[in-house]
Amino acid sequence: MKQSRDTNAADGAVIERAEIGGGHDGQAELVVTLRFPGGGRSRVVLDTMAGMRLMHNCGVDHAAALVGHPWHRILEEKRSCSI
Amino acid sequence: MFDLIIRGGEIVDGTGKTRFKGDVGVRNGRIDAVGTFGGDARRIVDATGRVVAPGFIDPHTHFDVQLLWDGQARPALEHGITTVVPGNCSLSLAPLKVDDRKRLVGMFQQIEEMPPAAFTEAFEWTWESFGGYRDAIAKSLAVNVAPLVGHSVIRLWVMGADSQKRAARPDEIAAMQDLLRECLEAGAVGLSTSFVDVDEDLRPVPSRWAHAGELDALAAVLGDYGRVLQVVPEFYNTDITIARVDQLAELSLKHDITTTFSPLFDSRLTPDNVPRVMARVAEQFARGARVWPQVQTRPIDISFSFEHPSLFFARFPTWYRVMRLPRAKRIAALRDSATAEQLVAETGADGGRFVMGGLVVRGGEGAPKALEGRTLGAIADERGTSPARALIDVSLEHDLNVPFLAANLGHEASDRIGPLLADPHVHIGASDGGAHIQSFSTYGDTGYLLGHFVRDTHHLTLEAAIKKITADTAEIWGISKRGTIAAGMAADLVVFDADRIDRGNERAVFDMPGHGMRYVRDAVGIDAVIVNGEVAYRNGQYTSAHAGRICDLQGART
Amino acid sequence: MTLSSQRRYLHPLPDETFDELAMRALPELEPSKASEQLKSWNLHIFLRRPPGVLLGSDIVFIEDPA
Repeated sequence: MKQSRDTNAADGAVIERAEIGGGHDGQAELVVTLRFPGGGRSRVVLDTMAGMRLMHNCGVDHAAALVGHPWHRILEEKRSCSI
Repeated sequence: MFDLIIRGGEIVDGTGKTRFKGDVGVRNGRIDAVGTFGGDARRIVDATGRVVAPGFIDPHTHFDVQLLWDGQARPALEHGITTVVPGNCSLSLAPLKVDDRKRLVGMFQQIEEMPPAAFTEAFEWTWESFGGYRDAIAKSLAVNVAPLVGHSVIRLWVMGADSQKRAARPDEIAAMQDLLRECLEAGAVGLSTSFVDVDEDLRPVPSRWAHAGELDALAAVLGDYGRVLQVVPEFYNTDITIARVDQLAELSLKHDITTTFSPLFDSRLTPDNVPRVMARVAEQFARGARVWPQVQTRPIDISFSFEHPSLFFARFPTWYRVMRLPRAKRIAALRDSATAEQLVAETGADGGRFVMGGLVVRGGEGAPKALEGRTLGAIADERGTSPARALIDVSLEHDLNVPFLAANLGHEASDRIGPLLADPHVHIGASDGGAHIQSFSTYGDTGYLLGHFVRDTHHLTLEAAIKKITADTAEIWGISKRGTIAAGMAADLVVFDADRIDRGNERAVFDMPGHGMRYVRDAVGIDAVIVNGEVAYRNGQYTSAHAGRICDLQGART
Repeated sequence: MTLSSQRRYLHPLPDETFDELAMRALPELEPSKASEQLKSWNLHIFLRRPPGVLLGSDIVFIEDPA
């Protein structure tokens, strides 16, 4: 079940980009760029567990599909849905 | 009579001065003559056609444990590293109470990936104090060591288990100051702290629980002794890194100390990171602060297999779905011809040639020897198939237990890294030597600097690059009498072929205690490495010389 | 030498909680809204173990990124 893309500005930042990069520890990581309602951007880097949890919670099966999802999905506990 | 003469080389003396032809005479472990001079020597090293440089200094290592059984810090020494700074990232092996050993070992294993046997079989714990550790390693050093003391262990000593629970009380901060003084008196080159590291349970290490006042109090002690503060910042977030630069700058100005943070990474995914951070560093240097970003020379490589989940697959929906299946179903899916066809198709019309052809089969416990070091592109060609199909087949043939290396996934753009390394505000370092040993090789960064960024891309002259990893490093860290080739300096020297110097290919070896595996790179183009006047490495062989010592430091200010 | 303007942040006070810091940083907002706002600017504090527990060494941003 795909989760809705919650792009209402009242909800705050949304995911603008999500790409796979190389981590300092030799593992692939998910580099997520957030865009805030005021136009500012920040970046958060997710390790394997956090990255997979985000993809699961957003109901997507590839990183690029994370674009448009709200920031708080990043912090949510793992949902019971499956992709 | 000299003990040693390095004869007929091109001398790059570490000052940045243009190279010149001459001899280097060594007596009693020190350089005694440079240029043209007479006299004989008990030993001659012919350097005709070779460069003679000061020994390289590696300012960011984790050789703390390895030095207890391997005073040569292999293979760092063969790459021309004659001095190492261990104890980075808030972790050193002293001061440490007997009862806290297990806790600290967990933290070290998280960072270094050393097998447990390294801590139980390879040496005898004989110390609690920093001086005791210094004496334990000093017995058999072939490299020189300028050890940092870790903030986490100082906190652990004073606060015990509470060091990972709460802020320190004023009396505890005072006790930490006293302990730091004792360590500096015993030869510590400075204090390391970390804002990112975790222990084996993924809990923040003790230093991260220290509030700003505690670090300020410890920096005040560093100021009294003129010693260095090393920090690991949150290198994945530009705004935080800039905030850390500012924090370090204030400490530097207030206490008149040198600070350094490592690492600073560049990436195509974060193109604004380095320009923004370096702009801030320049502003702070202009104010008089000393905040040195350490930049590693090598690109970031990552490793993955079908055995464990990896975000490497998150670019391709079907690959990602298959990777997340339970193991038995994963194998079944990979064996299913329709699924396999879909996987291959998803990697592009070229069968994954572009996105997977350069992946390398790595060595390791389960890796097929015949394929080790080969690319999927080459394996695919040999088998008459596509690289994506080869990845699937090789994984299935070895029960999924085949690690693959994806090179250059970060810090990889030479046209950005080269100018960064040449920046006068950049401190070349951050090798992490002796850490992450089962994930990638942390050796050979100086060979990569001199081979790639000097010889191939010309971003630095040889003289400038050598200065960065010798005299500049010695000056930043306050290491006395090392880093240049001049009369009276320690005879730490490297003789190498500027046309060949490089790092070798990564390979897996099983030379850690308990037959533990690690990845290494052999030296290429290094003829000789001399430490305190003794030839420690020559023509591909380590010698029995163990002339390394704990580094003398520039004097305390108080 | 005047430093260029950068994103504003606070260090936690000794043993201060995230919610307490949120109220200190954003006193004009209701406590729950202040915490939620601060959270979105400081994901790094919630992506570690234990999530949301402030560490003394933390950098806590108190405004939007640029």
